[in-house]
Amino acid sequence: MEKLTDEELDSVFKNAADGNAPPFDPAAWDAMAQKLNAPRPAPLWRRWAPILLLGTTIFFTGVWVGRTSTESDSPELIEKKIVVEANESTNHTEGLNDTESSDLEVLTEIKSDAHDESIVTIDSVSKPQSQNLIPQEKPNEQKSLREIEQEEFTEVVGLIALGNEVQLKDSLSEKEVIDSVALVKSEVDSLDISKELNDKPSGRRVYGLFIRLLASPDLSAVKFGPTQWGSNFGLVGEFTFSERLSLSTGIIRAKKNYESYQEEAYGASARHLVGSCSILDVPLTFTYYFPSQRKFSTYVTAGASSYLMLREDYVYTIKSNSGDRVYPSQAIRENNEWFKVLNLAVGVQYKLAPRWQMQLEPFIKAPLADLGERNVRLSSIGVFGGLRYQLNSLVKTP
Amino acid sequence: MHLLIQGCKRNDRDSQRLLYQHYYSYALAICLRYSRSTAEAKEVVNDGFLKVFDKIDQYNVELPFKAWLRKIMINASIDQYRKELKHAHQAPVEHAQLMHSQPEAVSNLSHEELIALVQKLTPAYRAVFNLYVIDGYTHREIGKLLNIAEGTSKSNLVKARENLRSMLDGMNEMPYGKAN
Repeated sequence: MEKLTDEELDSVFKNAADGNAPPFDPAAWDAMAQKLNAPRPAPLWRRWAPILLLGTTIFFTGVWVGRTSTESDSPELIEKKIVVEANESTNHTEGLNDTESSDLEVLTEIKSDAHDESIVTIDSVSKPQSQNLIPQEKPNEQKSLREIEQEEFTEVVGLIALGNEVQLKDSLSEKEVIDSVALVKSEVDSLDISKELNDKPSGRRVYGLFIRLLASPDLSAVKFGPTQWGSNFGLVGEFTFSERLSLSTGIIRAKKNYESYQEEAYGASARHLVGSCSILDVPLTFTYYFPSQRKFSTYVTAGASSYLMLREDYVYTIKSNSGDRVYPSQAIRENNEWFKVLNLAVGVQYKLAPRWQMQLEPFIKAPLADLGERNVRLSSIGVFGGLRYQLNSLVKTP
Repeated sequence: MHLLIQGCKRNDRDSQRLLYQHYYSYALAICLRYSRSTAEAKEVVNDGFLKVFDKIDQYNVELPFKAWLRKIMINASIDQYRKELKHAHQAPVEHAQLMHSQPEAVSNLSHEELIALVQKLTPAYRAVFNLYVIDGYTHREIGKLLNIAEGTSKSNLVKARENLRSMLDGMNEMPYGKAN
Protein backbone atom coordinates (compact mmCIF):
# COMPACT_ATOMS: atom_id res chain seq x y z
CA MET A 1 0.00 0.00 0.00
CA GLU A 2 1.30 3.44 -0.91
CA LYS A 3 1.52 6.13 1.65
CA LEU A 4 -0.06 9.54 0.86
CA THR A 5 2.67 12.09 0.23
CA ASP A 6 2.46 15.53 1.77
CA GLU A 7 1.43 17.03 -1.57
CA GLU A 8 -1.28 14.42 -2.08
CA LEU A 9 -2.61 14.87 1.41
CA ASP A 10 -2.65 18.65 0.98
CA SER A 11 -4.46 18.35 -2.35
CA VAL A 12 -7.13 16.09 -0.84
CA PHE A 13 -7.93 18.59 1.88
CA LYS A 14 -7.62 21.62 -0.41
CA ASN A 15 -10.14 20.08 -2.80
CA ALA A 16 -12.44 19.24 0.08
CA ALA A 17 -12.25 22.83 1.34
CA ASP A 18 -12.93 24.24 -2.12
CA GLY A 19 -15.81 21.88 -2.71
CA ASN A 20 -17.47 22.15 0.66
CA ALA A 21 -20.67 24.23 0.50
CA PRO A 22 -22.78 24.03 3.66
CA PRO A 23 -26.46 24.98 3.19
CA PHE A 24 -27.87 28.32 4.34
CA ASP A 25 -29.39 28.31 7.78
CA PRO A 26 -32.48 30.61 7.86
CA ALA A 27 -32.08 31.09 11.62
CA ALA A 28 -28.57 32.47 11.15
CA TRP A 29 -29.78 35.85 9.94
CA ASP A 30 -31.79 36.39 13.13
CA ALA A 31 -28.63 36.04 15.19
CA MET A 32 -26.85 38.36 12.78
CA ALA A 33 -29.61 40.95 12.97
CA GLN A 34 -29.32 40.90 16.76
CA LYS A 35 -25.62 41.57 16.49
CA LEU A 36 -26.22 44.44 14.10
CA ASN A 37 -28.83 46.01 16.36
CA ALA A 38 -26.69 45.80 19.47
CA PRO A 39 -24.92 49.07 20.39
CA ARG A 40 -21.22 49.05 19.62
CA PRO A 41 -18.49 51.26 21.06
CA ALA A 42 -16.90 53.73 18.70
CA PRO A 43 -13.44 52.77 17.45
CA LEU A 44 -10.54 54.07 19.52
CA TRP A 45 -9.26 56.39 16.80
CA ARG A 46 -12.68 57.98 16.45
CA ARG A 47 -12.81 58.70 20.16
CA TRP A 48 -9.43 60.41 20.07
CA ALA A 49 -9.83 62.11 16.68
CA PRO A 50 -11.37 65.40 17.95
CA ILE A 51 -8.61 65.84 20.54
CA LEU A 52 -5.95 65.03 17.96
CA LEU A 53 -7.50 67.43 15.48
CA LEU A 54 -7.69 70.20 18.05
CA GLY A 55 -4.10 69.64 19.14
CA THR A 56 -2.86 69.67 15.57
CA THR A 57 -4.78 72.86 14.81
CA ILE A 58 -3.37 74.60 17.89
CA PHE A 59 0.15 73.46 17.06
CA PHE A 60 0.09 74.64 13.46
CA THR A 61 -1.64 77.88 14.37
CA GLY A 62 1.13 78.51 16.88
CA VAL A 63 3.79 77.76 14.31
CA TRP A 64 2.12 79.99 11.77
CA VAL A 65 1.66 82.88 14.18
CA GLY A 66 5.24 82.55 15.36
CA ARG A 67 6.52 82.53 11.82
CA THR A 68 4.49 85.48 10.58
CA SER A 69 5.39 87.57 13.63
CA THR A 70 9.05 87.27 12.70
CA GLU A 71 8.52 87.91 9.01
CA SER A 72 10.43 90.98 7.99
CA ASP A 73 7.82 92.23 5.57
CA SER A 74 4.81 91.90 7.80
CA PRO A 75 1.92 94.34 7.25
CA GLU A 76 2.52 96.09 10.58
CA LEU A 77 6.08 96.89 9.62
CA ILE A 78 5.05 98.17 6.22
CA GLU A 79 2.52 100.39 7.92
CA LYS A 80 5.19 101.68 10.31
CA LYS A 81 7.44 102.40 7.37
CA ILE A 82 4.84 104.67 5.80
CA VAL A 83 4.44 106.55 9.06
CA VAL A 84 8.18 106.87 9.51
CA GLU A 85 8.66 108.12 5.98
CA ALA A 86 5.95 110.66 6.49
CA ASN A 87 7.54 111.82 9.75
CA GLU A 88 10.91 112.01 8.16
CA SER A 89 9.83 114.06 5.23
CA THR A 90 8.23 116.61 7.54
CA ASN A 91 10.74 116.65 10.41
CA HIS A 92 14.14 115.95 8.95
CA THR A 93 14.17 117.13 5.37
CA GLU A 94 13.18 120.71 5.90
CA GLY A 95 15.46 122.94 3.92
CA LEU A 96 16.65 120.16 1.63
CA ASN A 97 15.94 120.35 -2.04
CA ASP A 98 13.95 117.69 -3.91
CA THR A 99 16.98 115.61 -4.89
CA GLU A 100 18.31 115.44 -1.36
CA SER A 101 14.91 114.57 -0.03
CA SER A 102 14.54 111.72 -2.51
CA ASP A 103 17.98 110.43 -1.51
CA LEU A 104 16.77 110.03 2.02
CA GLU A 105 13.67 108.24 0.84
CA VAL A 106 15.78 105.93 -1.27
CA LEU A 107 17.84 105.05 1.75
CA THR A 108 14.79 104.20 3.76
CA GLU A 109 13.55 102.05 0.94
CA ILE A 110 16.79 100.11 0.42
CA LYS A 111 15.85 97.64 3.03
CA SER A 112 12.39 97.77 4.38
CA ASP A 113 13.30 95.36 7.18
CA ALA A 114 15.23 98.03 8.94
CA HIS A 115 13.19 101.08 8.08
CA ASP A 116 12.23 102.16 11.57
CA GLU A 117 15.84 101.93 12.69
CA SER A 118 17.13 103.50 9.47
CA ILE A 119 15.53 106.76 10.47
CA VAL A 120 17.68 106.73 13.56
CA THR A 121 20.73 106.16 11.40
CA ILE A 122 19.97 109.00 9.06
CA ASP A 123 19.02 111.21 11.90
CA SER A 124 22.29 110.49 13.58
CA VAL A 125 24.44 111.09 10.51
CA SER A 126 22.93 114.51 10.25
CA LYS A 127 24.52 115.15 13.63
CA PRO A 128 28.22 115.00 14.39
CA GLN A 129 27.85 111.44 15.82
CA SER A 130 28.27 109.84 12.40
CA GLN A 131 29.99 106.75 13.81
CA ASN A 132 26.49 105.48 14.45
CA LEU A 133 26.48 104.48 10.78
CA ILE A 134 28.57 101.43 11.76
CA PRO A 135 27.32 100.52 15.19
CA GLN A 136 29.55 98.83 17.69
CA GLU A 137 28.95 95.27 18.84
CA LYS A 138 27.02 95.00 22.08
CA PRO A 139 28.64 92.13 23.90
CA ASN A 140 26.58 90.01 26.30
CA GLU A 141 23.46 91.78 25.27
CA GLN A 142 20.35 90.22 23.81
CA LYS A 143 19.60 91.74 20.42
CA SER A 144 16.40 91.61 18.53
CA LEU A 145 16.29 90.19 15.05
CA ARG A 146 15.63 93.60 13.59
CA GLU A 147 18.64 95.05 15.37
CA ILE A 148 20.87 92.35 13.93
CA GLU A 149 19.57 92.84 10.43
CA GLN A 150 19.99 96.61 10.75
CA GLU A 151 23.59 96.13 11.83
CA GLU A 152 24.31 93.91 8.87
CA PHE A 153 22.65 96.33 6.53
CA THR A 154 24.59 99.33 7.81
CA GLU A 155 27.78 97.30 7.63
CA VAL A 156 27.17 96.68 3.96
CA VAL A 157 26.42 100.33 3.30
CA GLY A 158 29.49 101.38 5.24
CA LEU A 159 31.79 98.94 3.46
CA ILE A 160 30.58 100.03 0.04
CA ALA A 161 31.04 103.62 0.98
CA LEU A 162 34.61 102.92 2.07
CA GLY A 163 35.19 100.98 -1.15
CA ASN A 164 34.34 104.11 -3.07
CA GLU A 165 36.82 106.10 -1.00
CA VAL A 166 34.16 108.08 0.74
CA GLN A 167 35.48 109.42 3.99
CA LEU A 168 32.90 109.13 6.72
CA LYS A 169 34.24 111.43 9.34
CA ASP A 170 32.73 113.08 12.35
CA SER A 171 33.06 116.38 10.59
CA LEU A 172 30.98 115.36 7.58
CA SER A 173 28.16 117.68 6.94
CA GLU A 174 24.67 116.46 6.33
CA LYS A 175 25.00 117.37 2.65
CA GLU A 176 28.18 115.32 2.27
CA VAL A 177 26.64 112.33 3.89
CA ILE A 178 23.63 112.50 1.62
CA ASP A 179 25.91 112.72 -1.40
CA SER A 180 27.78 109.67 -0.17
CA VAL A 181 24.57 107.82 0.23
CA ALA A 182 23.52 108.74 -3.29
CA LEU A 183 26.85 107.44 -4.55
CA VAL A 184 26.45 104.02 -2.98
CA LYS A 185 22.77 103.82 -3.67
CA SER A 186 23.08 102.20 -7.08
CA GLU A 187 25.43 99.53 -5.77
CA VAL A 188 23.25 98.77 -2.79
CA ASP A 189 20.30 98.43 -5.12
CA SER A 190 22.10 95.78 -7.11
CA LEU A 191 23.02 93.79 -4.01
CA ASP A 192 21.03 90.73 -3.06
CA ILE A 193 21.35 91.45 0.61
CA SER A 194 19.60 88.33 1.68
CA LYS A 195 22.06 86.29 -0.38
CA GLU A 196 24.98 88.04 1.26
CA LEU A 197 23.59 87.25 4.65
CA ASN A 198 22.82 83.65 3.72
CA ASP A 199 26.26 82.95 2.33
CA LYS A 200 27.92 84.40 5.37
CA PRO A 201 29.21 81.43 7.35
CA SER A 202 28.09 81.67 10.92
CA GLY A 203 26.50 79.64 13.67
CA ARG A 204 23.12 81.21 13.13
CA ARG A 205 20.00 79.25 12.67
CA VAL A 206 18.13 79.75 9.45
CA TYR A 207 14.48 78.82 9.41
CA GLY A 208 12.77 78.29 6.11
CA LEU A 209 9.91 76.37 4.61
CA PHE A 210 10.09 74.64 1.26
CA ILE A 211 7.89 72.35 -0.75
CA ARG A 212 9.19 69.76 -3.15
CA LEU A 213 7.34 68.17 -6.02
CA LEU A 214 8.85 64.77 -6.83
CA ALA A 215 8.51 62.00 -9.39
CA SER A 216 10.58 58.95 -10.12
CA PRO A 217 10.62 55.51 -11.67
CA ASP A 218 10.74 52.74 -9.10
CA LEU A 219 12.54 49.44 -9.36
CA SER A 220 11.44 47.02 -6.64
CA ALA A 221 12.55 43.55 -5.65
CA VAL A 222 12.08 41.09 -2.83
CA LYS A 223 15.52 40.58 -1.33
CA PHE A 224 17.73 40.20 -4.38
CA GLY A 225 15.09 38.61 -6.58
CA PRO A 226 13.83 39.71 -9.98
CA THR A 227 12.98 43.40 -10.34
CA GLN A 228 9.85 45.06 -11.65
CA TRP A 229 9.15 48.66 -12.65
CA GLY A 230 6.82 50.98 -10.76
CA SER A 231 6.51 54.70 -10.12
CA ASN A 232 6.53 57.39 -7.40
CA PHE A 233 4.84 60.81 -7.31
CA GLY A 234 4.95 62.98 -4.26
CA LEU A 235 4.69 66.29 -2.48
CA VAL A 236 7.12 66.87 0.37
CA GLY A 237 7.42 69.73 2.83
CA GLU A 238 10.87 70.70 4.04
CA PHE A 239 11.79 72.75 7.10
CA THR A 240 15.32 74.05 7.38
CA PHE A 241 16.51 74.63 10.91
CA SER A 242 20.08 75.57 10.14
CA GLU A 243 21.97 76.74 7.10
CA ARG A 244 22.83 73.16 6.15
CA LEU A 245 20.27 70.88 7.79
CA SER A 246 16.63 70.31 7.08
CA LEU A 247 13.81 67.97 8.05
CA SER A 248 11.36 66.73 5.44
CA THR A 249 8.07 64.92 5.43
CA GLY A 250 5.23 64.51 3.00
CA ILE A 251 3.34 62.00 0.93
CA ILE A 252 4.58 59.96 -1.99
CA ARG A 253 2.12 57.86 -3.93
CA ALA A 254 4.04 54.75 -4.94
CA LYS A 255 3.16 51.88 -7.22
CA LYS A 256 5.45 48.93 -6.58
CA ASN A 257 5.46 45.70 -8.58
CA TYR A 258 7.60 42.73 -7.69
CA GLU A 259 7.88 38.97 -7.68
CA SER A 260 9.75 36.34 -5.73
CA TYR A 261 10.57 32.75 -6.45
CA GLN A 262 11.63 30.33 -3.79
CA GLU A 263 12.48 26.69 -4.24
CA GLU A 264 11.68 24.34 -1.41
CA ALA A 265 12.33 20.70 -0.55
CA TYR A 266 15.37 20.41 -2.80
CA GLY A 267 13.52 21.68 -5.87
CA ALA A 268 10.56 19.29 -5.48
CA SER A 269 8.27 22.27 -4.93
CA ALA A 270 8.52 26.03 -5.39
CA ARG A 271 6.68 29.08 -4.26
CA HIS A 272 6.12 31.91 -6.68
CA LEU A 273 4.69 35.24 -5.57
CA VAL A 274 3.70 38.08 -7.88
CA GLY A 275 2.68 41.25 -6.12
CA SER A 276 1.46 44.71 -7.04
CA CYS A 277 0.97 47.35 -4.36
CA SER A 278 -0.33 50.89 -4.20
CA ILE A 279 1.35 52.59 -1.29
CA LEU A 280 1.34 55.95 0.43
CA ASP A 281 4.97 56.43 1.37
CA VAL A 282 5.34 58.90 4.25
CA PRO A 283 9.02 59.75 4.59
CA LEU A 284 10.64 61.49 7.54
CA THR A 285 14.16 62.43 6.53
CA PHE A 286 17.04 64.68 7.43
CA THR A 287 19.01 66.37 4.67
CA TYR A 288 22.46 67.89 4.83
CA TYR A 289 23.34 70.44 2.15
CA PHE A 290 27.03 70.70 1.37
CA PRO A 291 28.39 74.27 1.14
CA SER A 292 28.60 75.55 -2.40
CA GLN A 293 29.23 78.93 -4.00
CA ARG A 294 27.84 77.89 -7.35
CA LYS A 295 24.36 77.33 -8.65
CA PHE A 296 24.95 73.60 -8.30
CA SER A 297 25.02 72.07 -4.85
CA THR A 298 24.88 68.57 -3.45
CA TYR A 299 23.18 67.00 -0.48
CA VAL A 300 22.65 63.72 1.33
CA THR A 301 19.45 62.47 2.87
CA ALA A 302 18.74 59.79 5.46
CA GLY A 303 15.64 58.79 7.35
CA ALA A 304 12.78 56.36 7.56
CA SER A 305 9.61 55.82 5.60
CA SER A 306 6.23 54.57 6.67
CA TYR A 307 4.29 52.58 4.12
CA LEU A 308 0.52 52.91 4.27
CA MET A 309 -0.61 50.05 2.07
CA LEU A 310 -3.61 51.26 0.09
CA ARG A 311 -4.05 48.16 -1.99
CA GLU A 312 -2.11 44.91 -2.30
CA ASP A 313 -2.77 42.36 -5.01
CA TYR A 314 -0.99 39.03 -4.91
CA VAL A 315 -0.98 35.81 -6.84
CA TYR A 316 0.75 33.13 -4.89
CA THR A 317 1.46 29.80 -6.56
CA ILE A 318 2.81 26.63 -5.04
CA LYS A 319 4.27 24.47 -7.77
CA SER A 320 4.71 20.77 -7.05
CA ASN A 321 4.64 17.42 -8.76
CA SER A 322 1.00 16.93 -7.80
CA GLY A 323 0.05 20.17 -9.58
CA ASP A 324 0.02 23.89 -8.94
CA ARG A 325 -2.03 25.44 -6.19
CA VAL A 326 -2.86 29.08 -6.88
CA TYR A 327 -3.87 31.50 -4.14
CA PRO A 328 -4.90 34.95 -5.39
CA SER A 329 -5.47 37.48 -2.63
CA GLN A 330 -6.03 41.17 -2.05
CA ALA A 331 -5.77 43.45 0.91
CA ILE A 332 -7.26 46.92 0.94
CA ARG A 333 -5.90 49.40 3.50
CA GLU A 334 -5.15 46.66 5.95
CA ASN A 335 -1.48 47.17 6.61
CA ASN A 336 0.32 50.27 7.82
CA GLU A 337 4.04 49.77 8.25
CA TRP A 338 5.32 52.58 10.45
CA PHE A 339 8.98 53.53 10.00
CA LYS A 340 9.91 50.11 8.67
CA VAL A 341 11.79 51.34 5.61
CA LEU A 342 15.21 52.97 5.62
CA ASN A 343 15.59 55.92 3.23
CA LEU A 344 19.00 56.85 1.85
CA ALA A 345 19.65 59.29 -0.97
CA VAL A 346 22.22 61.61 -2.46
CA GLY A 347 21.18 64.52 -4.59
CA VAL A 348 22.31 67.37 -6.74
CA GLN A 349 20.42 70.63 -6.90
CA TYR A 350 20.50 73.47 -9.43
CA LYS A 351 19.24 76.94 -8.63
CA LEU A 352 16.80 78.01 -11.32
CA ALA A 353 15.57 81.24 -9.69
CA PRO A 354 15.92 82.85 -6.25
CA ARG A 355 13.17 80.62 -4.85
CA TRP A 356 13.27 77.69 -7.25
CA GLN A 357 15.65 74.76 -7.38
CA MET A 358 15.68 71.69 -9.58
CA GLN A 359 16.77 68.43 -7.94
CA LEU A 360 17.95 65.02 -9.08
CA GLU A 361 18.09 62.46 -6.30
CA PRO A 362 19.06 58.78 -6.63
CA PHE A 363 17.60 56.88 -3.69
CA ILE A 364 17.41 53.48 -2.08
CA LYS A 365 14.62 52.28 0.21
CA ALA A 366 15.64 49.25 2.22
CA PRO A 367 13.24 47.29 4.45
CA LEU A 368 13.91 47.18 8.20
CA ALA A 369 11.18 44.56 8.70
CA ASP A 370 8.73 42.42 6.76
CA LEU A 371 6.20 44.50 4.88
CA GLY A 372 2.58 44.15 3.86
CA GLU A 373 0.12 41.33 3.74
CA ARG A 374 2.66 38.80 2.49
CA ASN A 375 5.45 39.95 4.80
CA VAL A 376 7.94 40.59 2.06
CA ARG A 377 11.34 42.23 2.36
CA LEU A 378 10.73 44.78 -0.35
CA SER A 379 13.59 47.01 -1.51
CA SER A 380 13.32 49.83 -4.01
CA ILE A 381 15.71 52.02 -5.93
CA GLY A 382 15.10 54.93 -8.27
CA VAL A 383 15.99 58.50 -9.12
CA PHE A 384 13.73 61.30 -7.99
CA GLY A 385 13.46 64.30 -10.24
CA GLY A 386 11.96 67.26 -8.48
CA LEU A 387 11.32 70.96 -8.07
CA ARG A 388 11.95 72.71 -4.76
CA TYR A 389 10.23 75.99 -3.96
CA GLN A 390 11.01 78.32 -1.05
CA LEU A 391 7.74 79.34 0.58
CA ASN A 392 8.94 82.08 2.90
CA SER A 393 11.81 84.49 3.43
CA LEU A 394 14.52 82.89 5.50
CA VAL A 395 14.28 83.83 9.15
CA LYS A 396 17.56 83.97 11.01
CA THR A 397 18.40 83.92 14.68
CA PRO A 398 21.81 84.18 16.32
CA MET B 1 -24.03 42.89 -6.55
CA HIS B 2 -22.99 46.50 -6.93
CA LEU B 3 -26.42 47.60 -5.71
CA LEU B 4 -26.14 45.31 -2.70
CA ILE B 5 -22.78 46.81 -1.78
CA GLN B 6 -24.12 50.33 -2.20
CA GLY B 7 -27.08 49.42 -0.01
CA CYS B 8 -24.77 48.03 2.67
CA LYS B 9 -22.75 51.24 2.55
CA ARG B 10 -25.98 53.10 3.32
CA ASN B 11 -26.53 50.69 6.20
CA ASP B 12 -29.69 49.40 4.54
CA ARG B 13 -30.79 46.32 6.47
CA ASP B 14 -32.41 44.56 3.49
CA SER B 15 -29.22 44.87 1.46
CA GLN B 16 -27.25 43.51 4.39
CA ARG B 17 -29.59 40.56 4.69
CA LEU B 18 -29.38 39.73 0.99
CA LEU B 19 -25.61 39.96 1.00
CA TYR B 20 -25.47 37.78 4.08
CA GLN B 21 -27.71 35.14 2.53
CA HIS B 22 -25.77 35.17 -0.72
CA TYR B 23 -22.37 34.64 0.86
CA TYR B 24 -23.29 32.76 3.99
CA SER B 25 -22.42 29.34 2.60
CA TYR B 26 -19.06 30.50 1.29
CA ALA B 27 -18.18 32.17 4.60
CA LEU B 28 -19.30 29.22 6.68
CA ALA B 29 -17.18 26.84 4.58
CA ILE B 30 -14.11 28.88 5.49
CA CYS B 31 -14.92 29.20 9.17
CA LEU B 32 -15.81 25.52 9.54
CA ARG B 33 -12.23 24.56 8.72
CA TYR B 34 -10.88 26.80 11.46
CA SER B 35 -13.44 25.89 14.09
CA ARG B 36 -13.95 22.78 16.17
CA SER B 37 -17.73 22.70 15.67
CA THR B 38 -20.44 24.00 13.37
CA ALA B 39 -21.95 26.11 16.16
CA GLU B 40 -18.64 27.83 16.76
CA ALA B 41 -18.16 28.36 13.03
CA LYS B 42 -21.56 30.05 12.78
CA GLU B 43 -20.56 32.43 15.58
CA VAL B 44 -17.37 33.28 13.75
CA VAL B 45 -19.27 33.82 10.50
CA ASN B 46 -21.46 36.39 12.21
CA ASP B 47 -18.44 38.09 13.78
CA GLY B 48 -16.91 38.21 10.31
CA PHE B 49 -20.03 39.67 8.71
CA LEU B 50 -20.17 42.30 11.43
CA LYS B 51 -16.70 43.39 10.31
CA VAL B 52 -17.82 43.26 6.68
CA PHE B 53 -20.72 45.63 7.34
CA ASP B 54 -18.57 47.89 9.52
CA LYS B 55 -15.80 48.15 6.97
CA ILE B 56 -17.82 47.99 3.77
CA ASP B 57 -16.71 51.54 2.95
CA GLN B 58 -13.15 50.27 2.63
CA TYR B 59 -14.10 47.70 0.03
CA ASN B 60 -12.99 48.56 -3.48
CA VAL B 61 -15.74 47.57 -5.89
CA GLU B 62 -13.20 46.89 -8.64
CA LEU B 63 -11.92 43.88 -6.71
CA PRO B 64 -13.70 40.54 -6.26
CA PHE B 65 -15.88 40.71 -3.20
CA LYS B 66 -15.23 37.05 -2.42
CA ALA B 67 -11.51 37.62 -1.95
CA TRP B 68 -12.18 40.47 0.46
CA LEU B 69 -14.76 38.43 2.34
CA ARG B 70 -12.42 35.45 2.53
CA LYS B 71 -9.72 37.58 4.10
CA ILE B 72 -12.10 38.93 6.71
CA MET B 73 -13.41 35.46 7.54
CA ILE B 74 -9.89 34.10 7.99
CA ASN B 75 -9.05 37.03 10.28
CA ALA B 76 -12.22 36.44 12.27
CA SER B 77 -11.28 32.77 12.57
CA ILE B 78 -7.80 33.70 13.80
CA ASP B 79 -9.37 36.00 16.39
CA GLN B 80 -11.45 33.06 17.54
CA TYR B 81 -8.34 30.88 17.61
CA ARG B 82 -6.66 33.37 19.95
CA LYS B 83 -9.64 33.34 22.27
CA GLU B 84 -9.67 29.57 22.15
CA LEU B 85 -6.00 29.39 23.07
CA LYS B 86 -6.67 31.25 26.29
CA HIS B 87 -9.15 28.64 27.42
CA ALA B 88 -8.30 25.43 25.64
CA HIS B 89 -5.81 22.92 26.89
CA GLN B 90 -3.58 21.79 24.07
CA ALA B 91 -3.78 18.03 23.83
CA PRO B 92 -0.39 16.42 23.39
CA VAL B 93 0.02 14.77 20.04
CA GLU B 94 3.25 12.92 20.53
CA HIS B 95 1.19 9.74 20.55
CA ALA B 96 0.29 10.33 16.93
CA GLN B 97 1.77 7.60 14.84
CA LEU B 98 2.95 7.66 11.30
CA MET B 99 0.61 5.34 9.52
CA HIS B 100 0.00 4.65 5.88
CA SER B 101 -3.24 6.17 4.74
CA GLN B 102 -4.20 4.98 1.31
CA PRO B 103 -5.24 7.22 -1.58
CA GLU B 104 -8.11 4.97 -2.71
CA ALA B 105 -9.65 4.98 0.76
CA VAL B 106 -9.47 8.79 0.98
CA SER B 107 -11.37 9.21 -2.26
CA ASN B 108 -14.40 7.57 -0.65
CA LEU B 109 -14.72 10.36 1.89
CA SER B 110 -17.00 13.32 1.33
CA HIS B 111 -15.89 16.92 1.63
CA GLU B 112 -17.79 17.25 4.90
CA GLU B 113 -16.06 14.21 6.37
CA LEU B 114 -12.65 15.51 5.41
CA ILE B 115 -13.39 18.93 6.91
CA ALA B 116 -14.64 17.17 10.04
CA LEU B 117 -11.20 15.57 10.31
CA VAL B 118 -9.55 18.98 10.15
CA GLN B 119 -11.87 20.20 12.90
CA LYS B 120 -10.60 17.41 15.13
CA LEU B 121 -7.08 18.79 15.09
CA THR B 122 -5.93 20.84 18.04
CA PRO B 123 -6.41 24.60 17.55
CA ALA B 124 -2.73 25.24 16.86
CA TYR B 125 -2.38 22.44 14.30
CA ARG B 126 -5.71 23.27 12.71
CA ALA B 127 -4.83 26.92 12.29
CA VAL B 128 -1.42 26.19 10.77
CA PHE B 129 -2.75 23.46 8.48
CA ASN B 130 -5.56 25.69 7.20
CA LEU B 131 -3.40 28.73 6.73
CA TYR B 132 -0.59 26.89 5.00
CA VAL B 133 -2.33 24.21 2.95
CA ILE B 134 -5.74 25.65 2.19
CA ASP B 135 -5.18 29.40 2.26
CA GLY B 136 -1.63 29.58 0.97
CA TYR B 137 0.17 31.46 3.72
CA THR B 138 3.89 30.99 4.21
CA HIS B 139 5.36 29.86 7.51
CA ARG B 140 6.74 33.32 8.11
CA GLU B 141 3.31 34.86 7.62
CA ILE B 142 1.73 32.25 9.83
CA GLY B 143 4.33 32.94 12.49
CA LYS B 144 3.44 36.62 12.52
CA LEU B 145 -0.29 35.98 12.37
CA LEU B 146 -0.38 33.45 15.19
CA ASN B 147 2.50 34.97 17.14
CA ILE B 148 4.61 31.83 16.97
CA ALA B 149 8.07 31.09 15.62
CA GLU B 150 8.45 30.10 11.98
CA GLY B 151 9.92 26.78 13.14
CA THR B 152 6.91 26.15 15.34
CA SER B 153 4.65 26.69 12.35
CA LYS B 154 6.63 24.12 10.33
CA SER B 155 6.62 21.69 13.19
CA ASN B 156 2.87 22.13 13.73
CA LEU B 157 2.25 21.48 10.06
CA VAL B 158 4.19 18.22 10.14
CA LYS B 159 2.27 17.11 13.21
CA ALA B 160 -1.06 18.17 11.72
CA ARG B 161 -0.37 16.07 8.66
CA GLU B 162 0.65 13.13 10.84
CA ASN B 163 -2.58 13.46 12.79
CA LEU B 164 -4.67 13.64 9.66
CA ARG B 165 -2.98 10.56 8.24
CA SER B 166 -3.58 8.80 11.51
CA MET B 167 -7.25 9.74 11.48
CA LEU B 168 -7.63 8.65 7.86
CA ASP B 169 -6.12 5.27 8.71
CA GLY B 170 -8.44 4.99 11.67
CA MET B 171 -11.36 5.51 9.34
CA ASN B 172 -10.05 2.85 6.96
CA GLU B 173 -10.30 0.30 9.72
CA MET B 174 -13.98 1.09 10.28
CA PRO B 175 -16.72 -0.84 8.43
CA TYR B 176 -17.35 0.65 4.95
CA GLY B 177 -14.46 3.06 5.52
CA LYS B 178 -16.78 5.81 6.77
CA ALA B 179 -16.66 7.95 9.84
CA ASN B 180 -19.61 8.56 12.09
